[in-house]
Amino acid sequence: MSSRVYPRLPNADARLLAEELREASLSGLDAVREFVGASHPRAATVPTGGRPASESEILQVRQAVLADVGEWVDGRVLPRRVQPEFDARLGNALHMALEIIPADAAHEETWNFLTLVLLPDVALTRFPTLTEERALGGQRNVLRRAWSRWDILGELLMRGSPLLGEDELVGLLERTAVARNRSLVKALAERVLNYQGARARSEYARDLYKRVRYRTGPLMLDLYSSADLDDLITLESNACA
Amino acid sequence: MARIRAFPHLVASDASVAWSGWLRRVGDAVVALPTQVEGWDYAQSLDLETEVWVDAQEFVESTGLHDLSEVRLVATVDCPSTNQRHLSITPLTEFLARSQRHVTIHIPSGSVANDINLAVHIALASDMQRQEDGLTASEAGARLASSPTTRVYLEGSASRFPTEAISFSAAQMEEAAWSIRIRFDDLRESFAGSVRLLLNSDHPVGSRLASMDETVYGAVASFLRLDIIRALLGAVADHLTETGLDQLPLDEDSIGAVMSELCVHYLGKDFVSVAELRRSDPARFERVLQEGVGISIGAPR
Repeated sequence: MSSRVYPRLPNADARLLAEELREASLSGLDAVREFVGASHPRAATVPTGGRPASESEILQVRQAVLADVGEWVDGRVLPRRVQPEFDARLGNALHMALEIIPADAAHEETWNFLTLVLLPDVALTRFPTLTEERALGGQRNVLRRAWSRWDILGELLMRGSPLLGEDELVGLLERTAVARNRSLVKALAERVLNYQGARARSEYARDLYKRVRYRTGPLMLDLYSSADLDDLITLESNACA
Repeated sequence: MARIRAFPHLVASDASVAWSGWLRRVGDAVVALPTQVEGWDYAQSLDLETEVWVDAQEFVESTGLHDLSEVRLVATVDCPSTNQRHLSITPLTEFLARSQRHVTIHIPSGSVANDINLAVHIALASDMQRQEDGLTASEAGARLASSPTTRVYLEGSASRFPTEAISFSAAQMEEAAWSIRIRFDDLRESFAGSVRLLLNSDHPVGSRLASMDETVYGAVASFLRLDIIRALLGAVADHLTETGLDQLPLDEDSIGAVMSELCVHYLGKDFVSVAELRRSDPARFERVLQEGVGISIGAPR
């Protein structure tokens, strides 16, 4: 049940904190962990709507995330081959533990707090340079991106060998015309995961997404049943396989 | 007027469908839905409705569809911030049989934030037998008519240009009064998520702009607007592919769609023409831009 709202850290404060964390990370993750907390003097929850998460609930979120991805949060560079699994498990853990109202998750400042106050060591494990777009709570923020992907795709992120890769996910979800049709997104993801053709899967995925995206112009795919979507995707898949 | 792009099938004529403004049901009362909803919070659900007039005979004649059983009226609410879409689907035949011609849609509490885009579409729900003329819509999902999109702001600052006041020195940036940050990989990305006006809180002009100081705002607002639009046009023009902007399916809130609107609104031209002018005659582009956006001292336009 999504019912909680979390403290929001203004961007200006987040930018300064991110800089401090980047500096601390040069001394190792233990130095970063000294910044970890369940509150920040400049952060506050939205005054209307939702139940503010208590400090103990906020700390439980940290524990839940570390239970799922903590094995990698050890100061070493996260191997590239592990990144999709790390992101999927992070997204799952956040989705389960945060119980956040989607409207609160839509605000950058919420993710500023979660990333830089509650889970800075996790963020730095995934993106060691913690650039602004990964640190601050925009669409490419390390935690927001993982939460959002799980929100849309769920367990599909844990399926397949290999798991859906970064290019495949970006192509699928960062196109708003397609991304809000969740049945379509899931059907496309399943098709990509099941691809067994000769081409590189990510190339096939790119072509498939593009062909389907063009169909969203004259066709309102929101009216399609799952069988209709399967038929359409099969047609487009055959054309680009 | 119906909003329809060039489609590979016949669409409903403008005379066959008419749209109206959106209303909000609050208890037993129905009130006009303002552009900026005051006092909304995450605990509130939204019940919205709009009236649609369909001239059935004209609709059949213009679309060539003699069987309306698979035609649907679809109200959509898109929330760019939560990345959610809500739908309300009504069979057209059922709709035409009603005495009240309202389309309604319910938005659960907590599922939307910042701003929402409302629209009504008429489309085919299922495949139909292909007619001999080859032009009558027969494919499931075929769009037959779409209303203009209405954007409604739910939260206080959502209607403003994405703006942030920061200390440029702390961010190790040069001491300018403002800076326009534009980051996107694709023209379909959200405008609000891709663009940000940064105001320098250390700078006497930047800080007074951030606090909406009337004197400073009146003096520099037109230059600021010019600067923003110039930067946006440049960034988007550099990303324009050879397919052209108009052929891409763009969401209303995408950076490509917003730039198209800006070009028409300020310059009276489509984006491709503006980009071509910028490339071929930069000096004239600057004059056209300045004329279109307007330079003024005093209250902003």
